[in-house]
Amino acid sequence: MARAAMEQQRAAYTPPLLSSLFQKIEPLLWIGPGLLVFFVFVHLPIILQLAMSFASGVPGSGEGLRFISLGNFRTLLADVDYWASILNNIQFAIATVVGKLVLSLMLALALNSAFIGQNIFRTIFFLPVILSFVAIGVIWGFMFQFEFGAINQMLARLGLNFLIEDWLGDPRFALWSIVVVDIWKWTGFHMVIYLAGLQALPKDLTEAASVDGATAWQRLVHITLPLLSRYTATNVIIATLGAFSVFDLIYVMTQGGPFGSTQVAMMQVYLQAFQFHRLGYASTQATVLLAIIAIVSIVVMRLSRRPEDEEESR
Amino acid sequence: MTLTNSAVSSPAASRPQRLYRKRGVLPWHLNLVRLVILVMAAAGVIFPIVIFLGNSLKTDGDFLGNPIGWPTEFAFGNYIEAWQKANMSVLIVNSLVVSLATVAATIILTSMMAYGLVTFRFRGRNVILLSILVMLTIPVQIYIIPLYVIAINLSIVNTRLGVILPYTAAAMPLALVLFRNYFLELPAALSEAARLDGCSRFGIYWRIVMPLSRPAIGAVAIFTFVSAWNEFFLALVFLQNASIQTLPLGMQVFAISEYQTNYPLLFSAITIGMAPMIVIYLLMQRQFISGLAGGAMKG
Repeated sequence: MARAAMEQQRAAYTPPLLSSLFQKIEPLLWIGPGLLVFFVFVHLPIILQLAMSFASGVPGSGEGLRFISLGNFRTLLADVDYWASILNNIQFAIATVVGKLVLSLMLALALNSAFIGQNIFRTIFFLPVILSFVAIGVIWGFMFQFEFGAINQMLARLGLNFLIEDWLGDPRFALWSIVVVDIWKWTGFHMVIYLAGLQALPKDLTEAASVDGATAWQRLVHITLPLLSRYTATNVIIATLGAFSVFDLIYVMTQGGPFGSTQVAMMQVYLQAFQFHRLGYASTQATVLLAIIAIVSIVVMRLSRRPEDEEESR
Repeated sequence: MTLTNSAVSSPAASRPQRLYRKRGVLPWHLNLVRLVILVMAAAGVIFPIVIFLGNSLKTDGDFLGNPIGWPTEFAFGNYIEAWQKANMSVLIVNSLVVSLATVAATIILTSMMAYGLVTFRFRGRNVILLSILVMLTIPVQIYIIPLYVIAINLSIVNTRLGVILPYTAAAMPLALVLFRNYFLELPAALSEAARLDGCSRFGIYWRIVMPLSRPAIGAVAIFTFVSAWNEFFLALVFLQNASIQTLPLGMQVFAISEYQTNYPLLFSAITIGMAPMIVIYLLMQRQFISGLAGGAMKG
């Protein structure tokens, strides 16, 4: 409708003879500048990335790009460090996604119906979202620090000395400690998305169910959760993407150590590219990561699309 | 599903209103559980920050003897020393320049693009739109290597432009979604009337569409500003020259140099670095929360 009106308007006001050339290029003037920036800094890198995955050398440098077919992929298949880091990354992804989803849903449900202080709680829960990972890395680096760290100090005061561990220095705990920090940072974000979903729920449905004698738990499982599935999908996708491209937090807190226990895919890409200067091979690693991310988001979107949603969108 | 259907078909109107409301409310013990959960969670979120702030105000000796208590004496001098030692004024100015330039470029370029895509019909329009929207879920990190190669060839590595342009490009898909949705909902009659009054196309965009789109501009400005202000990875790779480094990078450099030597000083520096964003957030928390999380839902 709006489009038709705009069409009409355009036809009515453009002087017929004056500048058909201008008319032809006018869209370009509006779209061109932005598209140019986007092309050079997003499209082109992705195209180059794919090209570099099958090459060695650096485009535009003296060395030039040399096509080596699947050479990089062969190296990758045999790269134990890379697969170990992917395995760490998968553990990290599962733990953070589940943790963020469960906690954010709990908090959203607890916060949903209006009462005094709702706004204060929401503001507090969302606070970590706006902090930089560098600040968070130092804050939690202190929490987990072995000697003076707040966690161990409190355990000592409570007489729970047997629970004291070197949280970031022990390969058994380092990755899980970082999982905790990542959940701490993002739960408020996912909670706000769930809150929006809860607020959009048709109230009469749950009320009618409770009149029919459904318990709070039954209402949650049979009505609220299914109706929230779109929001759950959004949360899962955002959390998964973040988990597979996690870098800042690891770089700041453990640099992949101890003994590679917190190595993740992006750390490997960074090391290969900017420490060992193997740009072609690092591109291959990044391409595989990109494929993983694409597959995961497609699968999640497929799973969450239910017949009712399809009807709705038509 | 059967439960839902029977619930819908039951004639709710015929039921007594009181019973209805009473059943909808949670029993008191669940309300108590809810409050306990919320208070505990809030404490868990706040505790690391509070204890961190406390420690930033201790002397080094006080900290080592008493790392989790309240300061015995307040060492406000830490903040002055940290400000100077970590070169805070330079870092904050750099971050401001980079973030504000990113916000301005994103708003101008993307709103013009969205306006062009909404106003004109031309061949390839949907292809352009789609080719940008597919990138919505792809994090910048993934294509850092070719980006670096491109930046070297454009000789913008180690310049502010070298991060501003990639930040702008990375913000574009989400910004485009927000602007486009907003523009599509503006009544066409408005620009039509302006056209009749002899307003040029740019005039319509600048004097009618943009002023009406303040909520969209605000949301784009907030998420672009926060992500540019906090961005670390690109800055780490692109900004090697200390004089143009942004706040997160400078804080990281300072953290490495001060870690295990003077914790309170490091904590003061980090606190100074966090403070601007926390203050803006607390002043505008409603806009921040909807700007940062709302975009994600539309995307």
